[in-house]
Amino acid sequence: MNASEWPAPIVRRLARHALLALCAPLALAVAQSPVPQRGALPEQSLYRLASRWTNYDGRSIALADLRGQPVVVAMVYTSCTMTCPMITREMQAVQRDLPPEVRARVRFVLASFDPARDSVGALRQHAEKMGLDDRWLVVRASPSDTRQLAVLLGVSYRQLPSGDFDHSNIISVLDAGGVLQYQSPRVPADRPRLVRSVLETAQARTQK
Amino acid sequence: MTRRVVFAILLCGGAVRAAAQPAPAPRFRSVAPGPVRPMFIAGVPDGGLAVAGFLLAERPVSNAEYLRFVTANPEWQRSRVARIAADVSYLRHWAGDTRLGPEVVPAAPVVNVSWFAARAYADWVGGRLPTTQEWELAASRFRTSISGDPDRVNAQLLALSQAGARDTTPLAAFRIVSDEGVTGLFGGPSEWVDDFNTVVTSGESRGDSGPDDGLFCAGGAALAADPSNYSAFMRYALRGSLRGSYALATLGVRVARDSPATRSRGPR
Repeated sequence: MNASEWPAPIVRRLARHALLALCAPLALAVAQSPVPQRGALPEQSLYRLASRWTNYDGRSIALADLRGQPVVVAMVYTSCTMTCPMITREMQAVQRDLPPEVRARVRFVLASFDPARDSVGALRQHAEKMGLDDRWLVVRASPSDTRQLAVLLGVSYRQLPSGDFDHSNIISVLDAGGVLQYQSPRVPADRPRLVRSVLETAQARTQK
Repeated sequence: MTRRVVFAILLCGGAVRAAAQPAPAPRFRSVAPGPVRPMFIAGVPDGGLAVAGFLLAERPVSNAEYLRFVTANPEWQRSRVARIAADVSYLRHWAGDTRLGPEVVPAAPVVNVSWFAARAYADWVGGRLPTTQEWELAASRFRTSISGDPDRVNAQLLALSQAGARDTTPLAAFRIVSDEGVTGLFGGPSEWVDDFNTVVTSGESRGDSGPDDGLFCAGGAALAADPSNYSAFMRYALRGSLRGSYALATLGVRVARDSPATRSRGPR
């Protein structure tokens, strides 16, 4: 007797059980995840490449942990006295200019490209000095993961014999899936445009 | 019929063996420490920057070696790789995901690989990509085999690269051997360096004008050190134009490794 000869109700019940068995782990995974949608990452998602970072409070995070919310990210080094503080101020101004309901959902990330000198302690000092609130992450990684993020963001940096860095002043906006939506190439930035791109990114996510 | 079945079994056996093959061990040459005069960087002392000695593979990675890599790591196959990690040109000269095809010379340097892919390969064989300065150091070691005069070295290297470009056989560059036994640095495909994104110049800048100050921090002071070194100038120009996902027909991979003396954790 093959499957086509089995009574229809049994076949239907078997099919239902099979479906349940298949879906249960998936449903469980969705229930446990803090983010509503957990499909495959988009082809152009930065989160497709793994990297491991340490926040200024000592917490370890993967870049992909930022999934599910719009992210404004820049790379800096904390001993920088030239444009890096301007980059941070620019991002703080964007945060201020957002309506409260959007502001509450956006993450701001400063990633150091100077892991040799930017210890967790140095990052914490920087966060305190700049007055960054709990929507901010100030993170460091291995030289290799640092280089990878810089390449993903199109950020150039190079240490000079003096110890300081030449570097790009790029501020990037990522959507909930980790895809670049907008990049401001310079400081001072075109702030209205930067704010608009964060708003549009946040709204696109609400519609999904 | 029976013979065809036996042949098929042999083929499958071959495929299984290929999949289980370990990572190829690169043949490393030792590059002695020395000074490098990098381009587009301010504040370099007269003697140049001191670069530590390291190990550099004698040859760039071949198509055959890269085939083993994608066989063992299917996420790096042409049809599976994420677009963020490699653009549509990735391995486009191959016949398929795990097939080189009749046009591709297995021993020739693999090209059309992105920086992310190049790094993943280097990691797989227990190495890393060389830095810009390491690569330039290795490429400066032609004094004894060509000429002691730096100007003549440059001219001859340029002639060699052009000869390599005219020579359509893909292995021609292996005949250009550095004093330290590294081949294919000139005359073959260019090669990825780990820190290709260090060239901080804007597209509009000329030799005598600084880049746009708003785009780069401190970039205005960074001008070419020795514009007469034409081939180096071209390498810096290429690196400055790249993105990590680019796969180019003129760009390959070479693996480096820390010298045993400078490795803190010893050999793998």
